[in-house]
Amino acid sequence: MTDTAIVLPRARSELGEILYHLVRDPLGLAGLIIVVAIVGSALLAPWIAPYDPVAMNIPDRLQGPNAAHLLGTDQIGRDTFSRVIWGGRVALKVALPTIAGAIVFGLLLGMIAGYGPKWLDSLIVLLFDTLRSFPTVMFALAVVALVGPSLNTVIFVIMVTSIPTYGRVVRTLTQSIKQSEFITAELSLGATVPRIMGIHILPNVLGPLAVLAAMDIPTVVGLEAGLSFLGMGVKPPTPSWGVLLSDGYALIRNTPWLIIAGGIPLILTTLGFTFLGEALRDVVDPKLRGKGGK
Amino acid sequence: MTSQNITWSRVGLPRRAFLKGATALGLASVAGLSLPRGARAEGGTLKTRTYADIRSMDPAFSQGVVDEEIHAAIYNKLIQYKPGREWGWQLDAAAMVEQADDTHINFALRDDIGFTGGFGAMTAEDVKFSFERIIDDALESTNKPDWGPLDHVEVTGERTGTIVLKNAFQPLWNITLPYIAGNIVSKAAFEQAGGKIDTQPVATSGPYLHAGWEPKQKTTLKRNPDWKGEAPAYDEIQIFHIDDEKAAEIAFEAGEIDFTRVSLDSVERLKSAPIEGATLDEYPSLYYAWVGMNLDNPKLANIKLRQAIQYAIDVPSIMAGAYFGAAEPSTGIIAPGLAGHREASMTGAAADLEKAQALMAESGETNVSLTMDILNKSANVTAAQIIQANLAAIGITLEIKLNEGATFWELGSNEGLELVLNRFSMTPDPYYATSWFIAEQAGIWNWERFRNEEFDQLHIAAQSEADQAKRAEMYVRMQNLMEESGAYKFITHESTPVIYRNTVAPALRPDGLPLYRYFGAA
Repeated sequence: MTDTAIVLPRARSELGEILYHLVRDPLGLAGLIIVVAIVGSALLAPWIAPYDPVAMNIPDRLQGPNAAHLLGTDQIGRDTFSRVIWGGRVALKVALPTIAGAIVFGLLLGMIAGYGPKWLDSLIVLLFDTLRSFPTVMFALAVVALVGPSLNTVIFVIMVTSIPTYGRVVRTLTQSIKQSEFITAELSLGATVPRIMGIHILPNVLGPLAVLAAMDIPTVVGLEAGLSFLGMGVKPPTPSWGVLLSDGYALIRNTPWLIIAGGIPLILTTLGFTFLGEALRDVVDPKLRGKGGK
Repeated sequence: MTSQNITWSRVGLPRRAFLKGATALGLASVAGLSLPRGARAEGGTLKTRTYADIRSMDPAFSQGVVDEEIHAAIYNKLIQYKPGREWGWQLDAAAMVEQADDTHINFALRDDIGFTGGFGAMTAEDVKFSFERIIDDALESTNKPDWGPLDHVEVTGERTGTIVLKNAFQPLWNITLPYIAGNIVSKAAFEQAGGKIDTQPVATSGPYLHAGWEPKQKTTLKRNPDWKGEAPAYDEIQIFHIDDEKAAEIAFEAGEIDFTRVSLDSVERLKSAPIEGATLDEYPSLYYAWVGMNLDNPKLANIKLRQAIQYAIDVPSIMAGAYFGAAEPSTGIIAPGLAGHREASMTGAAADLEKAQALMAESGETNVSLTMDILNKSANVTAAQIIQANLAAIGITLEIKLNEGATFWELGSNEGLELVLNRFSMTPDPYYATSWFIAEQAGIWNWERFRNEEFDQLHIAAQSEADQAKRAEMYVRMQNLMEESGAYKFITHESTPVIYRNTVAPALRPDGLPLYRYFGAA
């Protein structure tokens, strides 16, 4: 008689499951790599940037790429590569709190609208529609003109205009889940509204929100860059991709490198987060898993 | 334009006036004040560019250079600026003009100038109307200050008269008669139009006619067929509104325009890689840029702190980084070539860090944090960052606040203003520069709220000082007072680089601004 052992497949955690599916999707893997590179370089900026991003060296101004300055220098001799890396920090500093804030308020308002009485739903939807009726850039320009440009103003403006996007998604999902039989059963067992919302509805809306957030990050980063390009975002000398684009635009006939240096990270951010978001959507939605998501 | 025919009667000048006129012309020739160069009627179209749209075709409400470039071509003045590298004037509508005494200027008009629209010959009544309407409080002309102490114009004949001043006014010859306030309009046409006009001229008299205006697009000038003076060079001049200098440079390279000012950061590139068939010329500018400090702000009350800032700012670095080496540091608000220009500033152009640090220590100020307002333009942002780094070297944290045009130009009334990087336009008389810094202007254009009794007295005295050497001394002293207050660090007068096709013979003021009526074909 021989011993036989039955080997059961190891159960993966939910995060492991997501990662497993992400790396099997070529676009998802590419997105993940790009996002990790951008986030990693931003977090490690003080250690990996070769120069102080605001240190001037006017005699070395407007240099092209060379061994000392991988992406050349700007009009006052600052190292462009270092400014690109530090610019990533500004992009994340804007994107993360903005998206997080929009998700928190969107969740709260969306769940109240979706679960609450009809009149409250109508009121909140009206609020969402009102906020959405302002074109983000115009709204941002108006606020900045009133209170002056700063990173916090940019975060506030983009967050406020993003809340309705998340709120509407949460509201729709909440209304759908509210009709489910298990919710009816819970209610009949005497479950409280906070319990239903916290234990049953919240986990079911987080997945789609994560996908939406991933897809929104490039938009927010682009908005920050746009406002900084117009001089309404970060204050000088803070490095920002938008500031690089602005300097590059002003000097485009002298050197193309500033505009290239400001443009590449924006393109990579858009591609990376879009790939990642689409792959995440495929993973989160079981109906799409393994079908390429299309 | 309803009709472009001119009808007027020829009336000979009184003999005495003719002799004076001839004398003036003769003197002008001797002094090298040559006749207008646009004496060739080659024809064709000149395409050029302006950085802003027109605001008014009424000289009483002209907003400056942009309007005046057109006014100077379609209207006449007694005298016009002379194209060239040195400031001077030449006769225009006047056959003669002379300063009889400190307060009286006699003039005689040419007899061959008439207004379009059937409004007849230009007469001394038209001159009287044109000048006196600007000082009439009821009209509320924005250009009233340009006429200084004008009392009235006395008409002594159909084409002769006397400008009577309340007191002597030296800027008259430099900025009043040959510039905005000196344009002569038709009394009959303006009265018919209700006393003032907006963007559509009612009757003109210059070598070119205002043939069309497409808002934010272009203004078209056409040769005036009834112009009896020397024929202008072009059949048509199209002045395109191109705000952005880079866009203008691209338009020039694409052959869309024949003449434009170019940005300072393009000079180096255009010198190293010249555009075929084009010439780049650099002219000194009269503009003046400076860092101002609000004396009424308690944060800047300590003079040692202000002096430390003056010595910490390194102007040569700003010239290299923000102006690409195409401009020179300035010594004050009065540019080289004008009376009162200082050879050197008191604090020097280059930073003296040791002195700045010593002054900072003397001031007893620590953890100083200031804000500097700037207009959101590329060169300003770069200059501000250099200043930020300069001040950081003496322990001052400087926050840069970017402002759009409308917000920035309202800052003068902001009592909380701290530092400001500012830039004013200028005309070729020092009076124009100092007039913004008198006590009366505090909180209006005097953003530093600089108040100095001696300065104000000198400003008034210098207006009427006929001795040019003494007058220059006065303006030097006034700039010294400004600098001694610690409220000013002078940066630059910038420069005016222009590019034009070799088929064009541009006629420019010494500060590089175009005088289209004198443009010719090369």
